[in-house]
Amino acid sequence: MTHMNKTKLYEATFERLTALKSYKLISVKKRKLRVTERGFNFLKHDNKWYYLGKILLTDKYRRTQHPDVFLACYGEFVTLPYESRASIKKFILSGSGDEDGDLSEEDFTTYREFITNVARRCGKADSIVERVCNPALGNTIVGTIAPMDLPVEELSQIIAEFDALEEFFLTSDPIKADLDVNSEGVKTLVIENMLELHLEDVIRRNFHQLFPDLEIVDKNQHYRTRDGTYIDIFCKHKQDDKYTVIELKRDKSPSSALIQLLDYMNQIMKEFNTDKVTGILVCKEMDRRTRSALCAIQSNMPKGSSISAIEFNLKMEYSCM
Amino acid sequence: MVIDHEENEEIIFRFISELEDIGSFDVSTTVDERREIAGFILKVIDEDLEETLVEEIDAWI
Repeated sequence: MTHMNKTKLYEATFERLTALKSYKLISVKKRKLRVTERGFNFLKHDNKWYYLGKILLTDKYRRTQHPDVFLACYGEFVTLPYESRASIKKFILSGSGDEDGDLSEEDFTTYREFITNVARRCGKADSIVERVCNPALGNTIVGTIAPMDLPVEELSQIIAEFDALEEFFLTSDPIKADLDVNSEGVKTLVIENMLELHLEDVIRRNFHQLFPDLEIVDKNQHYRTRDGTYIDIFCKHKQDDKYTVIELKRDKSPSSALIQLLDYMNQIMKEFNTDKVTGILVCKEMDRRTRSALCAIQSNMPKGSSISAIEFNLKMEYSCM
Repeated sequence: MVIDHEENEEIIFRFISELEDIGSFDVSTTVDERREIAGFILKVIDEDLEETLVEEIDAWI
C-alpha cells in the first residue's frame, strides 16, 4: 500500500467522492454509505461511457429551458469531423476564448459556424443557442465527464433515444396522460411509453394537464429548503398563491415518504411564514399503513392546508439504459 | 442495499477505477493509490470529514 502525500490524497478523494455522488452511484446518509441500484447497474453495464453519458445528459436535459436547442446542439456536434469537434471543445474550455492565446482563428470560425448551424436546425437566435450549447457540451461538476468528451458513437446513440422521447412528447396525441379517480377517490395516473428514469420529466412536461390549478415555481430545479433538503417539484396555486410541495416516489411508497412530505410542508410553512401549504405524494402504490396514516392526517390538517396522494401505473413499453 | 466495510471498500475501488479508466478525473492515480483513496473515502464518510476535506483544499488554493 502506497502513502500519497496529503495534498494529492485530499484532492483526488474530493474529486472521486463528488463524482460518485453526482452520478448517484452511491448515497450517503447519516454516515452510512449505500450503493444505489444505479451504482450496481453501472458496474454491470458493458459500456460505461454510454451509461454515464446517459446519466449526464438526462440530468442536463431535465434542467434545460430549451430542450429543442439542447437536442439540436448534440445532433449537430456528432455530425462534425474530429478536428471540428476538437476546435469547439477548445473554444468552450477556454471560456469566451477572448484571452486564450492558443485559440486559433480557425477554432473561432469553427465554433461560430457550429452555433449558426445549430441555430438553423432549431430556428432559434444565435445568442440562445450559444447559451444552451456551452453548458450542454461542457462540464460544470468536478470529476464528471463532459458530454463533448463522450465517444461520438455513444453520444449519437443517446441523442437518438432522446429524439425518440422528444417525438413522443411533442407530436401526435396531445394528451399523453390520463387521470382516473377510483372508488376510494384515489387518483390513478396512467402514462404509457415512458422511461422510469423520466418520471419527473413526464410530470413536469405534462404538468398543466395533470395539475391545471398549479404552476411550477422552482425553475425546473429541485428547490432547496433552508434545512438543505431538496423538494422534487415546488409549485403554487394559480388562484391564491398557496404553495404546493410534490414528492415523487418511483417505487412503492413507504410511510417514510409521507413523513418526508410533511417535513417539507412544515419547512415551507416556516420559510414563507404561511400555514397554507398543500402536499402531494406521487407514488406507484401505497401500502396499507401509509394509506391509513394519510387518512388520519387529512382530517387534522390546519385550515387552508391539505395533503393528498396520486398513484400511477407505468407501462414500460419504451426502455433503455 | 447497505453492505459491510470491506465490500464497500472494494466497490468504491471498482467505481473509481472504472471512472478513472474513462478519464473522468484531473488528478490521475495508480492502482495502489486508488486503494488508498477507496479506504480514505470510507473514512471521510464514516467520520463525517467531508467539510474538513473541502476546507483544507480551499486553504491550499
